[in-house]
Amino acid sequence: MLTLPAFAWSRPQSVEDALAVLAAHPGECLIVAGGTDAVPNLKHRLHEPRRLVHLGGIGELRGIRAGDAGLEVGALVTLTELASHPHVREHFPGVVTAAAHVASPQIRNMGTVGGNLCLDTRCTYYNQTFFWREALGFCLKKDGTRCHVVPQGKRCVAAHSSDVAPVWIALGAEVEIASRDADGAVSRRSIPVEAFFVGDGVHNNVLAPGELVTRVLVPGAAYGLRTSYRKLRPRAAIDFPMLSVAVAVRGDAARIEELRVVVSALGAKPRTLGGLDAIVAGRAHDAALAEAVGAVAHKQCHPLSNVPYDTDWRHDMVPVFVKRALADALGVPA
Amino acid sequence: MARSRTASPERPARKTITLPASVGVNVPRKDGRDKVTGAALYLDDLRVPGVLHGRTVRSTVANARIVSVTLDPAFDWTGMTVVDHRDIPGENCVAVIERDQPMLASTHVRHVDEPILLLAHEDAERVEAAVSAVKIEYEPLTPALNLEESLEKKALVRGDDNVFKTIRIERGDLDEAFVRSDRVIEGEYWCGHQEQLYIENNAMLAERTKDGGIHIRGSMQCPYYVHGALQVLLNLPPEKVRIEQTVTGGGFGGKEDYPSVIGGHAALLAWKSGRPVKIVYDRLEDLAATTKRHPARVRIKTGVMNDGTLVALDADVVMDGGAYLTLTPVVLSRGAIHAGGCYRWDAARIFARAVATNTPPNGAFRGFGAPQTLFAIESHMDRIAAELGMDPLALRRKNAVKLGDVTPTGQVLKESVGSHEVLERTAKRAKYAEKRARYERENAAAEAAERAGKGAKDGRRLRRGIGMALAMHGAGFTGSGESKLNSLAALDLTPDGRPCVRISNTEIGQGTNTVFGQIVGEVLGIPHEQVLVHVPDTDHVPDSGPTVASRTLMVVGGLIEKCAKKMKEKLELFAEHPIEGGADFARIAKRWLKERGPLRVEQRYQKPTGIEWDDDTYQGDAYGVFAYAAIAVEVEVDLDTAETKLLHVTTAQDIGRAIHPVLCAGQIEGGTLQGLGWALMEEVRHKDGKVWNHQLTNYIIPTSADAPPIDVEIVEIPYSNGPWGAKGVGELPMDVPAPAVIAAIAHATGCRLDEIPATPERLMRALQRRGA
Amino acid sequence: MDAAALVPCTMQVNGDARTCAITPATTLLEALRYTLGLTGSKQGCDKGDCGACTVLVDGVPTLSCLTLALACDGRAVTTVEGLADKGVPHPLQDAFDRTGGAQCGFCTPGMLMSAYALLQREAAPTRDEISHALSGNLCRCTGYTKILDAVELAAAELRERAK
Repeated sequence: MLTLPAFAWSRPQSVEDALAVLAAHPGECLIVAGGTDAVPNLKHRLHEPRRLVHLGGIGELRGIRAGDAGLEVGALVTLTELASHPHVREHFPGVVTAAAHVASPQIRNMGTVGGNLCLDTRCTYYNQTFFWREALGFCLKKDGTRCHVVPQGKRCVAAHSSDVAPVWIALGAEVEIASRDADGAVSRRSIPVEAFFVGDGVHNNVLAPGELVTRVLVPGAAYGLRTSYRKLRPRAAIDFPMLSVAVAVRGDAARIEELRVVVSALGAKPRTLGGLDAIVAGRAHDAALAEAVGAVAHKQCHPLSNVPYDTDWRHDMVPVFVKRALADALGVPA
Repeated sequence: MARSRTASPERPARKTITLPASVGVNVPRKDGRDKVTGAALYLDDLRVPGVLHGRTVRSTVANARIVSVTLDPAFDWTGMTVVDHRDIPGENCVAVIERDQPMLASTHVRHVDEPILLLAHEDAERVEAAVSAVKIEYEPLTPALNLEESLEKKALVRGDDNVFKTIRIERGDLDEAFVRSDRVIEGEYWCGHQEQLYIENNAMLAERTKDGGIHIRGSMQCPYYVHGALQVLLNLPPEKVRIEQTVTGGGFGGKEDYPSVIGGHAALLAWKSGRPVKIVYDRLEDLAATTKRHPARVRIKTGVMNDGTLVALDADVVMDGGAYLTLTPVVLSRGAIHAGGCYRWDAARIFARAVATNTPPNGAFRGFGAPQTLFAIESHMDRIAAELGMDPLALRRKNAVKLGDVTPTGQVLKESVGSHEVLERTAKRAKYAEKRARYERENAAAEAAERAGKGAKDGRRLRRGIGMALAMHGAGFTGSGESKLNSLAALDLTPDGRPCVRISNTEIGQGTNTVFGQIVGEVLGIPHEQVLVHVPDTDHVPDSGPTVASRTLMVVGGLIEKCAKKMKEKLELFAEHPIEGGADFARIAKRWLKERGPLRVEQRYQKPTGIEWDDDTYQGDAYGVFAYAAIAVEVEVDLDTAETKLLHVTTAQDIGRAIHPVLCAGQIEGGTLQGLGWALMEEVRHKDGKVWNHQLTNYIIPTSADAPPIDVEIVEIPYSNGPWGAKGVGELPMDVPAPAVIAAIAHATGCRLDEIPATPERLMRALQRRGA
Repeated sequence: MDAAALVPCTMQVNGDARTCAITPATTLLEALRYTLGLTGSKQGCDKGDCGACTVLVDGVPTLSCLTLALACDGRAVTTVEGLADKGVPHPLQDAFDRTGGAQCGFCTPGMLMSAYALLQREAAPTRDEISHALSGNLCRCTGYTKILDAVELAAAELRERAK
């Protein structure tokens, strides 16, 4: 049996209470919702918090509100709930695909939208037992100073591994973060999901200690977008992405107005491809356009050996998956 | 299904009685109810008062002198039992074939994760923390981390040449045969480690007994192997060592010799602490430290005629045994004997070596050397077919052994040769010829369409292929192995008059207990449910040999069949009439017990006549009989990602006789998927001798979503020395899937891989080299 | 509450209110197996990759090795021990037994729980749907064929009973 490190337990019943607990024990807490990421990492002693703050009792974080103004998804909505919600299924198939491709049925039942967003980054040198890591002298991300992927590297390149995050980014979604101000009141701010992530494998989002993700907000403007998601993984179930691509298109196959492609699982943060509008705006989808988009992706995306799969092959797969995801979104041949 | 019997001549005619028949019937599993209700008790389910949790401190370097072992004084060691090599009462070794493997390292470590120290404490968390508080200083030495480095002698791991064992099989005039051949075709094939991945990790419980002995319970395949090893380790006589198997969650060979290691560790901790000690591995430890399938490099050079006749075989086999001998000579033996495949050769030379490397010792895994060499020869057959422009099935038809043919060890195949039967049935059932032609047509059409810019609607460039493989697998221990085992099986009566099977062969999922109930039930003419199978406990069962080598049903089942016949004879003589069913049996048995006391019959293995084997020349009858399997695998390859999807698998397997058709099919289906996993996704990766992917997150096996439909046809060509004609089935299914997958991929893409697993990365590189 | 202190946790386990005193760092699997004596749910990998520990929490298939026991306080947990009805095996258990869906039996409890939940929400699943629902439960013995057969058989049996 892999044991958990000892920790104290808090199970707040509201966001306010949760923030209060975090404030009362600064730097000592680990936030857990579904536990599917936190618990295995605790067993590997990748986290050793003195206190676990379990969010499961916070009713206000559950539920999906859907309307013309957009979609509000509570941080505790499970991936199964997200993938089976009729409104989400009708309007955001990319979100459904992504959520439905996370891990296994059990993990989708347990894993939450908030947790998936805040998923710890992954690396072959990091997701190992204490002894394995100790034998290698630890690493930049945890307990050490050296990166084993990029030998002289100063920045951690552990891979972003969330399936749904790239789709949120493609949709232009925002994440609502709650924090506690000096008087103890709850203040909330929303930032684009794209800005939520930073290119640092050690801590790849801007969430400060003491803060909480409370909702994902998909704006009404997103309703015009056609979305898709493609995941590359070794088996047909369970595995983390070797590569994932989210696409959001405004327009249709005959005329693309706007295109957003987000490629993930390569580096610490999802990469939104740049310069696409110049290639696609106003054009019809055809083989040449798809090739051009694929070429941009190949040029801008560079897999590293942070996960145990061949980097050259993963790199070659980037344009393949981008083209397929684009075709999926438009509902046309690739 | 019922049989009937009529009166014997001396007695007045009685009405015809219908006796229960079990053989060939899909009776309910003896252990079925407990397993589906969660009532079955595996080792970690046992509640043992006062138990200590044991853990192993292991080497972090592949080859080193141990400079010092220090217990960190800052850690609170109160209540902690600490065991090192000095605490070993007997010999510090894992006694398997040789005694080269230390139970605990003393001066040197020769592989990463080699056990050095053992710790035990009441508190599982404390003992886990204690592992980190053991500081070991090493003086690293250069390691030899794979078979090539071993051959180059980058480090000497064994003797002065790193060779554990060499086997030479030679038959006929090889030089002449090559000269005579129209063509010479060569190939080199590689396959890597494979982890057995039983879902229940290795687990053992040890307790000192009041009479100064040791009692071990746990997950295992071979209680008497552990029994032997523990006598040596603790310097105890046989009667003071008691080994008992608990319900075991899978083995596949991974719990053949390894239990002696974990059992020995639990025993040493129990010995020193005086308390019961439980060691239950977590998955990461089990994946990293326990035995695996031997990696192999097989170089094949064949002489063939233009019409496809196979003439000459020159095979060079090298297997990586890891740091210590364990079972390697026997794995090499089986691998070497099977290297010629299921074919006739005018002349053959098989030169096989097992070498030592600074990696964890490898051991038994279903197939035991044969899957590796059969992967090579079957892949090579496809290479020959391609070079000759011949259909691979036609090539196999032309050369597959028949009754009366002679193998490279000079064995005449005297009976029960289902090679052509399984080949034809598989080909027919899979619609091989039709699919082969159809896939070729469709692939060509797809390619043309793609070139014309009119590819598939979803843009994917898919190619389908179908590949076949054929193999024969020797059942039972090689050559004189069964004689050396000298198995003894027993059958007796319980106090309430039920027949009780006493054997050391273990139920590990394959249905052993159920099948033995059927055998005894059938012979005695009583319901199979009435038959008990005793827990394999060395205090209560004789040594009928290990549960390996596809021998349990064929060899031990045969012994038990004979025991049942002896018991029947004795009881019928006593009763003065034939046993007429279960109630009658119970009556007679109880009367015997009352009037004569206990009843126990035994049967020792007797080598069937006509089997001759020479261990020195490696010539003769390697096995009593072979079982045969053919498989057709259909795949779909995505040319842009090089991912291979398994579409369908069809297999016909000649196993002599299916005592329990469902259990038999279950063995075939399970073994087939293990072979498919080995072909496509299972790979152990190392970094500096350390297993890199020792979690189920990254050592991956097929999920239900990855498994194709597996269509099984059981073929029965009875073997005269097997119970009701049964041959072994356990390992055979493992021999054919991998080469068939490679063949199917080659058919689909024109790209032949000579190494497994055929991951997308490997296939993509091959496709790119070919200029796809 | 501090780390070493034992905290009461009350769950409805297989219909019975069960209370145990555990530290916060206790998974549901540990609580079930070592504190409540329900050893049917198994530890295969202890980090969520194999499904052998699958139980139902409020009717939903959940990996008990990744679930913190205290998070189940006040909730309903169903384990393999709760499938039989007063000793009469559930049609799924019977079907696994009959088709050969259980060989070594170690993956079986978790497999049964995932299958049970599937049949609760879908009375006539296709073979693909069954395969998908069980894709988080690894089996090494059977090749899955007879497991899928068992679920189909049980589904048919349950539909028959419902008539």
